[in-house]
Amino acid sequence: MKLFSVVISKGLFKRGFIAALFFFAFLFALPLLKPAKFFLIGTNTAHASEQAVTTEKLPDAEAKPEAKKEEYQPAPKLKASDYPQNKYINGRVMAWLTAQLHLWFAAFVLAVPIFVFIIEAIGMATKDERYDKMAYEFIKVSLTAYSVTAVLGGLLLFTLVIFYPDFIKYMSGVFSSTMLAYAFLFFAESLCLYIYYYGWHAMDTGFGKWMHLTVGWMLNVVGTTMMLLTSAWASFMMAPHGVSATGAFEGNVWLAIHNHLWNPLNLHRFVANIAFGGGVVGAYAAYKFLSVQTKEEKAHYDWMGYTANFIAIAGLLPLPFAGYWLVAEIYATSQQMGITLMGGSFAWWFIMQAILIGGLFLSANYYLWCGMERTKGAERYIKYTKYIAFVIVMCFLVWFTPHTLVLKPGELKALGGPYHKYLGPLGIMPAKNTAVNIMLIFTFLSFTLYKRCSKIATVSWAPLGNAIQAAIFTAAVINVVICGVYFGYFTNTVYKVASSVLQVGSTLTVLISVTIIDIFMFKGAKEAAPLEWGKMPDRSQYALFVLAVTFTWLMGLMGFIRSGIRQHWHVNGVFRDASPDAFTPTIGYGARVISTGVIIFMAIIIFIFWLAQFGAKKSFKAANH
Amino acid sequence: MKTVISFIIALAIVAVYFIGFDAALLKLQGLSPIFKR
Repeated sequence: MKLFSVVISKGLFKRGFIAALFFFAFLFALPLLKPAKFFLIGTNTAHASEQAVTTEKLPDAEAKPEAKKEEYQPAPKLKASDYPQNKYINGRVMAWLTAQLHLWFAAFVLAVPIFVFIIEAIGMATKDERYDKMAYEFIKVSLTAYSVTAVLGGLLLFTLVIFYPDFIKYMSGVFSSTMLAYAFLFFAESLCLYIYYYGWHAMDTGFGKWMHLTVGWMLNVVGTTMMLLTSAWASFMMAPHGVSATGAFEGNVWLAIHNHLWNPLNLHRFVANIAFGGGVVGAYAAYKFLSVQTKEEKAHYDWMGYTANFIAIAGLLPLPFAGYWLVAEIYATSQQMGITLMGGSFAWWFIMQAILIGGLFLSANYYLWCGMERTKGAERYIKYTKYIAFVIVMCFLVWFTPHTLVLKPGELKALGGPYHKYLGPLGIMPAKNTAVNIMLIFTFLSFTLYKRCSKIATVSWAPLGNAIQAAIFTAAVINVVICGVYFGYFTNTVYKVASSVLQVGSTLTVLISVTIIDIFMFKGAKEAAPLEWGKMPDRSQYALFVLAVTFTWLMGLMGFIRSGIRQHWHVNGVFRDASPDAFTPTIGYGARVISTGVIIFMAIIIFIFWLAQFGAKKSFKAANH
Repeated sequence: MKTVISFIIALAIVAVYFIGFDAALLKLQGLSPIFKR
């Protein structure tokens, strides 16, 4: 009570802030009171007129027993003429690009507050102001991106209304309540973000800091809830649930939200957003590192780039597992969709994915190896990097070895069949799983070596600890190879698929056990040599740019194939896409559209980086006059 | 020498762990730990 009165007496701002807190508490409590009823309210309202019309038309005998089921119309059966055309703009490409651009920015602005919140909390716990400064700079970049996200969201909605009116009508019929909730949440997110950003310095001490962190927490809760809602719409289009075979909504929106692919997609998006957000702010740090002149500024942006790279790797390491779960569930939902994805017309997109992910691993590792130059203590470990590079490159080559080649008869004859004698076996999943797990383990090894460059463990059991860690790495790699080779090539398909779980388990064992040993082993460690932030070659910063561009490209490619495997369906199996553009694009065509999107995204991002620098220059000048 | 011996002993222990770990994960997926044709 005393604390409360102290807070109130501090001024109007804090009173307003507490009122805002109550408002949000009320807003969040609404759906919690009666979730089922809350979700049903919107849908019933939206269909009230349709319901009235349907009941009127039906004879009494038919209307009574099946009244509930007849409330909703089946999905419309459209013709090409039902899709409005524009002489100058292709509706599909417009929807594709705006949806993708909106998603890139949305992913960025959802991810950044997550790690900003964590960095701010670390800064508060350690009382190290550098963390606070860095967190503020990260959120400053995301603020401009937030406006762009909103603009692109509006553009996407207009595009869908103009070019796909029946589709958006059907989707809003099923998801009307969640779409309304989304709009309210957008307000809540804007409010949280603005209080979080503009209140950063006003709430930087004592209780105010706790309040600020609370707002940051709420910002993340709202943002993540919004992501969960949009994932429900996207996953419903792939695995419709809560609708009849004809697409008629059955009235319970929770069933439509909680479709078979919702949770796998949620997890995959959440983890990927963090990796992507880390990649983009890493590019910002690199941009600043290359453009600033003073030693202090270089040190700050070097540290910022390192942190961003750490976040990107932390997201990248579990990402293949989340992706694997999503694809396994896609297969479980529809074998046809799964086979189209990985064995049919989309399989070659995975070769491109493999090349890009290989690029990600190489650039992230390269950045870590360059980072070893920050300290003289790294001389003990730098000799190992060439072996790590060799292993990662070999795995990379295995990973993008294709299985089925497009061959001319002469080439087929020269090869002696559709598959290469030695390289053919490397084209199937057991080889890919083995390669990616080894790549993950060796990337983690790079990171482990990097962390200990400037330290010397002082605990008496350090040699034993090192031996145990080396044994864990060795045994895990052997286990991954045995699982891949034995179960992948000498057993049946059931074991082949099951063995991937053993491989993932081996990698996770390494990640967790080595980290735990490291924490205890380096407790109270002495400094081998000082870590000189800012002492980084310029070329290392280009690895951060590669990371950002590759993440963006990868998201574009993978987003397209996730959506594209529905082929000629708006909503898989229940609502057919009859538009003239409902074809599966060729790889060249698709890659051109995605790459155009990447260029537009990067151009806007560069503008945002420039804007952040431009604003800083102005305020610096103002402060000096 | 001591470190090498520690490594070999640790490797043997971790290998036993992985054998049990793999068997448990296969069992969890409803499969027999030993593949039978």
